[in-house]
Amino acid sequence: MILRKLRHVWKLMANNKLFSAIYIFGTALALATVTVFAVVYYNSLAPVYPEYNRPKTAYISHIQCDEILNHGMSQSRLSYPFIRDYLSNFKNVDKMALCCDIWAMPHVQTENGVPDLKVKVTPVDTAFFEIFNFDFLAGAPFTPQEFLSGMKVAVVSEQTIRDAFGPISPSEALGKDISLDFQKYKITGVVKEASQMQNWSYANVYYPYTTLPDYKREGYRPGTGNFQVIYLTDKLGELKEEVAETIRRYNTGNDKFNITLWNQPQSHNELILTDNPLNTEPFSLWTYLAKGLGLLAILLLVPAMNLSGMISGQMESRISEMGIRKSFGATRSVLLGEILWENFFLTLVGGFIGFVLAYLMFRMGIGSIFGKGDSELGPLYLSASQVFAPAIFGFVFVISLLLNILSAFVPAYRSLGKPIVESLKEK
Amino acid sequence: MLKLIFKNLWNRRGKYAWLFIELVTITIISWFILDDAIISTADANLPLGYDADRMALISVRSYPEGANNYNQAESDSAKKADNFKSLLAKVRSYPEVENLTYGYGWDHMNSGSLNISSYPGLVKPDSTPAHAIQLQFIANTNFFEAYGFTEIEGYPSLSELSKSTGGHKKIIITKDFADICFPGENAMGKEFVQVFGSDTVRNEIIGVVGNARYQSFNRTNVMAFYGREQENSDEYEIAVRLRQGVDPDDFCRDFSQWAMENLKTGNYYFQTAQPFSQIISGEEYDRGISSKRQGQWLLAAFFLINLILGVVGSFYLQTQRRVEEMGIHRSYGALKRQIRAMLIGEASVLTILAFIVGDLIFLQIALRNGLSEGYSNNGMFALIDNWTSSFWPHFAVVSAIIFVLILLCVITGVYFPARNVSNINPIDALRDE
Repeated sequence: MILRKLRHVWKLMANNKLFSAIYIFGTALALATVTVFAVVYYNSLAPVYPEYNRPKTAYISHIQCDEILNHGMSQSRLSYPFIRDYLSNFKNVDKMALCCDIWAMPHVQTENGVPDLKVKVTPVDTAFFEIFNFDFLAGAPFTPQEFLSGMKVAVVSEQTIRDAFGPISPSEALGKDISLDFQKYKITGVVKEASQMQNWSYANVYYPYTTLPDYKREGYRPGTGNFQVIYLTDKLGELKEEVAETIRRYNTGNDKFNITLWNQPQSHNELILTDNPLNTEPFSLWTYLAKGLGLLAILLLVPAMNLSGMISGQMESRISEMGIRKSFGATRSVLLGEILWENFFLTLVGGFIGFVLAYLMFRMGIGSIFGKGDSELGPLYLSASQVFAPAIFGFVFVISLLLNILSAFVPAYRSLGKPIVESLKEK
Repeated sequence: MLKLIFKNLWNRRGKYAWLFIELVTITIISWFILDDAIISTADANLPLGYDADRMALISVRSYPEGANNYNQAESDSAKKADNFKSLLAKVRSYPEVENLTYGYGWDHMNSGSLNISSYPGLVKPDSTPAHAIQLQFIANTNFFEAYGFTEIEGYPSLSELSKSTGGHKKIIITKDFADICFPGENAMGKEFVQVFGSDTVRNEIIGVVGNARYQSFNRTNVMAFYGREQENSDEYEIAVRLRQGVDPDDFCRDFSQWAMENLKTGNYYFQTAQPFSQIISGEEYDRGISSKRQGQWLLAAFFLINLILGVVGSFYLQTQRRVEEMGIHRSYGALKRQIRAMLIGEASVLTILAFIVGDLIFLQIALRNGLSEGYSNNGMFALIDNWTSSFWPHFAVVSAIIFVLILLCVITGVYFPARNVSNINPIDALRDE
């Protein structure tokens, strides 16, 4: 039965080549676009390597210090002393990690004859590797003793090892020194590289921030510095209250400076969806889901209108065929089902092509449009596993169904409503 | 012909209804997507006020203590100063370098660091306070000449201004800044006086230079420069002005190869050379501006390609059913181009009517919510007065761009079905009639 239907659809396609080509291409374009957005949102929000703890992760990345008397103001990352004295030891925190923002990208001096390459480095602590679950291909994170003593050790990504030393295995890289702006760091671990889309965990090299000579220094105004805080917590609401109370007490007891942390710590979803660490509005995931669904609706609306118009035009030329079939006893629902099935097949073909098109677009670097990385890291590529995730595949399939129903149901239902005699009178 | 077009559209209003609705929808969607993209593109193409297309930035660093190449004997301040001078001389003598200036870290045009300050009297057209972008430079380094700023008549020359060492107390401002604060007057010697508690801060204007934009996405020419004495540093950014006709990309590639071997003095070494265009585009990318703009244009392209497909599909089916009609036209002497013109005319009139409806609908939204202002922090500054800053010129220009894009897509979509049906033989068309 299915084979018969497929043969019938194939014949229809052969008889209306232009119509079928436009239908399939229009569907492919719509579903490619939807897939691109789905992949970006999936990789930004869902628990993916190495940020599997995203649902429990919260961040503080910015601070503002206002000087009360002269109206001066500084806005920046946080200082280590401020974090140590005011933002540690909360009872609603399971784990806490710090990472330092290095504005300028250092260079790795390579051993394979190529020019020095710019790398992204993140000075971190040992808790960083407990919150973000990196896949260690060789070795392990630096130990608490190495961290506390400020030893020059590092965890390096697999790709960076290859770029710096040539085609060696991760285990061969262990114990070697990697030169960053002519400072040598001993490699203790090699990890599978994260995607540039994972802003918090992505880097080429991770080393202890205790190696930085001035890491304990306060910035120009209290609280300002180069650090960001990452919390692992199940109780974000309670943690926000604890932080807000701490800041309120600080400001009450200080007549020279006023500290603002806005709505921080922010959950991962809040940070990504608001894209604004300075956000003060209460965050509602449903609002952003609604916006996302609205965007999806707009992305599907125009293609659905196109396809609907084309199907409506095509149905006009098939009215007499439908009239004959009705006169032989076919019911409206049977005919409607057949038309939906025919168009669903075309939609599936278009959806498959669209999926492949989306993958090719990511291979060509379209992800850079959505990435927020450094321009010096080059275009943002996504691997097949990041594009062909089951959740994305399932989502695209459901959207194909939706597009098919939106575009085919109304014109088919309307044209099948014509009486048999009128249908047979049509040419 | 026009009468016939309107008649045909009216007779087929049921069949064209969905296309009309689609055109209205795409007009409104295009506004939401393209307003921001067009303004962002327009802002990025405003003159920068300095010769960015002839410039490159060379980064020089110092070996850290403990590194293999580090030489303790070269680390005292006198040696460091001499070594850097010697390094600069090598860069200056490179054949393609016409002039150069240098600064620390972020102290160059279009860097990632933004310092702003407000000055008394610096306001926007609606009299709300505005900010000025500040940039410090190292005195006696040909700062203004190397960048190619414009001299303004009645004020000191660029070479004199480049020698200033007064810090914040002696500032050099851009022409727009001077015109806002001292309209119709010479700003030389004027002062900004600000009182903070018991402190009084005075900034004296010692010169005015031509308008310049600090970052490519800021639509403001309001800047203040201040010079200071040089201090030893482990990091320098050398902005070189290239000779006429030298390609900055080629220069950076060739210079890097030469500098890796030759540009080392004491503990200083060459790190990178980048054309200014790369710095500008990198800064736009790092702030998400160019990605957002590209994303918007791509999204607009998505909708416009869908429009083309919709028009092709719709007119293809329509023309198939109008074969006899076209046959009759041909048999009465209509030329092929007249048939094509009639069909393209129908599509164009439909587009114009739908565009007017869509544009009027968006106008209500725009009157309520305003139009795009470009980069988010443009609101802090007194903006350049051009079509983007005023509502009606802005609305008119963006409307025109969107109209042209939509019309082109529609004409593209209708052309091939129109050409197919216009080529039909009248005898074949009328055979079954």
